[in-house]
Amino acid sequence: MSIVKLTSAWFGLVVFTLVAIMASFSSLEHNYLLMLVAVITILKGMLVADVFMELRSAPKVWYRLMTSYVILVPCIIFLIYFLS
Amino acid sequence: MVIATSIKQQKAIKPEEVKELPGDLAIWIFIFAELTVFAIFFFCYSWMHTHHLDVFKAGQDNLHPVAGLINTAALITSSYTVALAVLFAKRGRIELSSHVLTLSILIGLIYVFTKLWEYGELLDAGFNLSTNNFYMFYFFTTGFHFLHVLLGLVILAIMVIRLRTASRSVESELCQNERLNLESSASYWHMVDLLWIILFPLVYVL
Repeated sequence: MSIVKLTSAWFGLVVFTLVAIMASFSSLEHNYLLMLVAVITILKGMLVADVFMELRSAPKVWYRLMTSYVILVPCIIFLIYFLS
Repeated sequence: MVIATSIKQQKAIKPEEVKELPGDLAIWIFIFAELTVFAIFFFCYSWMHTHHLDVFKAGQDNLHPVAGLINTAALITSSYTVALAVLFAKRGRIELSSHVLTLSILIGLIYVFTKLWEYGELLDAGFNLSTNNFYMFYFFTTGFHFLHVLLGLVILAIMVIRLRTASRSVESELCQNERLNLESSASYWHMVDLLWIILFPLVYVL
């Protein structure tokens, strides 16, 4: 892990957060907003798991468990909102 | 024959290819248990939101999106500085690591004070756990997360003391046990950040 990689991940997290906030104030249709927020949440979660937690260099089972969580939870939340 | 094959396999593995879990195994079992509990809260919140749209919309209008944004920035930045502290400790710069970890605690405290201010504003306006379903879920879920932040700050403070003690010793590098403790503490703090990354859009954006 390097300082540049950590800083890039932090910058990415800040940018994704701002995009989500700006999208919530825009006139984006609710279903598109839902999809965008779900994708952004997954990307942010992956950055934290990969770079900050360093799970990419951990045994595969732990990396896969965390990746599954980071992908599945926002997807299930999206489905709950989308199907209602 | 079997022993010879095993030795050959061991030689074939380069040091950089050995995959290690950062921190202690127990902390990861604890982290996944916590993540599961929060996932249930997230699903319940989403389900309730979709079934009580007016109540949740009115409740969300009383929240402060700027406070939510400050909290997000604080946790993301604090998580970043904790990752830096681990990196510095691995490179043998233990004193610098303890300073960066102290900075992480200070940034984490921004979250604590912002959240307390937000709770104070809502309570002063007459909203509490029993007001309606939105406030019940809001106070319970964010309050449970808030307790995790407080616990994380205590753990980081303990690690700062231990790093300062280690930096005064003659050895230039952290011992294996202290390195594992630091990685475990960092992993817990990153989990707190990860949970907020999911909680923030649920409460403030959607």
